[in-house]
Amino acid sequence: MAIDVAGLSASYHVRARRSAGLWGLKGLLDGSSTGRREVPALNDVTFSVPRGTVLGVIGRNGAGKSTLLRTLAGIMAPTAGRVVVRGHISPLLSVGLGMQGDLTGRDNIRLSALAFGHSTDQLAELEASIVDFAELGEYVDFPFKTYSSGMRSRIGFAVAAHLDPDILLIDEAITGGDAKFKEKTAEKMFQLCGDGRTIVIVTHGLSLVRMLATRALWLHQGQVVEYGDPDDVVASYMRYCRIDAAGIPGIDDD
Amino acid sequence: MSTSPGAAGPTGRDARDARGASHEPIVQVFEPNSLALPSLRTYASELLARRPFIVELAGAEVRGQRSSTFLGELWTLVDPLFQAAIYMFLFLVIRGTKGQTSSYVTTIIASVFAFNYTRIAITDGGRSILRNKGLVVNAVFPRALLPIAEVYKGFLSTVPAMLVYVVIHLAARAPITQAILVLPLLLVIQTALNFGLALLFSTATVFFRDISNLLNYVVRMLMFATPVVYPVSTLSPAIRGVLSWNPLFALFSAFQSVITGQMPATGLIIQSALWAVLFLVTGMWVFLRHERSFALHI
Repeated sequence: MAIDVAGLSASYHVRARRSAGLWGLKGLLDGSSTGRREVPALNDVTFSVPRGTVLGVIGRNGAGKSTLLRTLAGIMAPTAGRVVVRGHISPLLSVGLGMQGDLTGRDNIRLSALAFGHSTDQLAELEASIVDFAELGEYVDFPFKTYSSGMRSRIGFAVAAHLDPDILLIDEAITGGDAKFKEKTAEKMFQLCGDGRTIVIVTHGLSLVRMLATRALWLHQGQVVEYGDPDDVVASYMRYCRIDAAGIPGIDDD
Repeated sequence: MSTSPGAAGPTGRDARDARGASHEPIVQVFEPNSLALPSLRTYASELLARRPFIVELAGAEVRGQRSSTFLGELWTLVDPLFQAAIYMFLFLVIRGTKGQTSSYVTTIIASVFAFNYTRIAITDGGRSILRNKGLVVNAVFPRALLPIAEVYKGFLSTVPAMLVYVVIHLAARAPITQAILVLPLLLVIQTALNFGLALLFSTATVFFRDISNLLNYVVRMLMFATPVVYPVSTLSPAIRGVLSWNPLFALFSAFQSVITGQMPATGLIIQSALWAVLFLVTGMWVFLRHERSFALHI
């Protein structure tokens, strides 16, 4: 197994109010509240992913999909349970990745590669292939903040795919590029799977899951509803979306 | 279920092995956080392995900050020149100091330049985690790289100022004595202190955003509580007694005496070293304890 998730729960700390102001000060003084709340995002999630799988994770907004990726990447620690990951994991690929707006695309590419642990000798070659794949052209030396959303997602995917991870985590990144680039990303993903890599992709694109994924995981309110063959899972999910919760076991539980 | 990285596909896999010790453990287990400190040796070796990241980030930020200006990187020279000119104006024209004027002015200019290093460590270092939110939320790496890179950036931007100062010092015929040999030691002490401050403030700003707004005032208050825009010799003993509780006081007193050509008292050097060690250790302890929960709170 490339990924083993057992009894995983995770929650966020969020500030409930935008600004507490003087009342916040009062709260600090008498210890009543600092406006912080713990929001559960994943609740007792268990599944395993064999090596070479393309796992599509689907579910409604707020189902815990992105949180799942963050815990798989080791960015967020679980509050309970255990995640075992075998292999190098890519940085989590979400739109814009870890890019700093004031720095150029080139700077950002180099920083991502170095943060991932690549050495400086590999950098030039890596940089060239990323720039080439993302079709940045002369824009590579422009500040990242000037990029269009399409360019941002292209550079994001290009970086994560070229960092040579065993496990690639993708969060909704493909939706930004144009049709031609989508084809290119799909091709690249097929190629990466062929190399025995594992891909976990979070998406609302159900056709993408059917086309690419070899397994699908449907999350709802932080819990697994269904895990298995993509066609089956997508079919149940679509049924749920149209006729809402009626008749589908596991949704009304809480 | 192979755990060997070389098992799959030939392309690019050999390069992986060149990446070094930080990626040796292929099996990673993520469990609920404890506040226990990570092994310092492992952490240090991971930091060392990512040295190029520090250099790249600091360099890129220095370039990025100036990228839309006409003078570009020349600003790193122009900035200190302007500062020096302003302080010369303040003290020569407005205060009209007589007599020891030249050493007065050189002391202040040198102190202002030196203080800039600590200012950058506090303001930019203190905001380093928040500024690189994207990287923190999306990638796994030792977070201390970020404040450390900012301190390095502070050092990089201090180098041109040092060169400017050397010219001023020579032009003013200020004394050059063997006290100058203490300078490298003071620089090491200041760097350690800066690391500590950057680690401490960058952790604090993640959990209390308000502190990010306070950093500029912290720096300004520190600047007036430290012999920067006035020579330490002008202070009355009572005030000196109070201000010497400021962690930067001893360091800058020692620095000013070097600039005026006198060997600083050993007590001052020991005192500033103790402050630096205290801040570095506290900063590291606080940062390492909390860095794993940064992504949750950011």
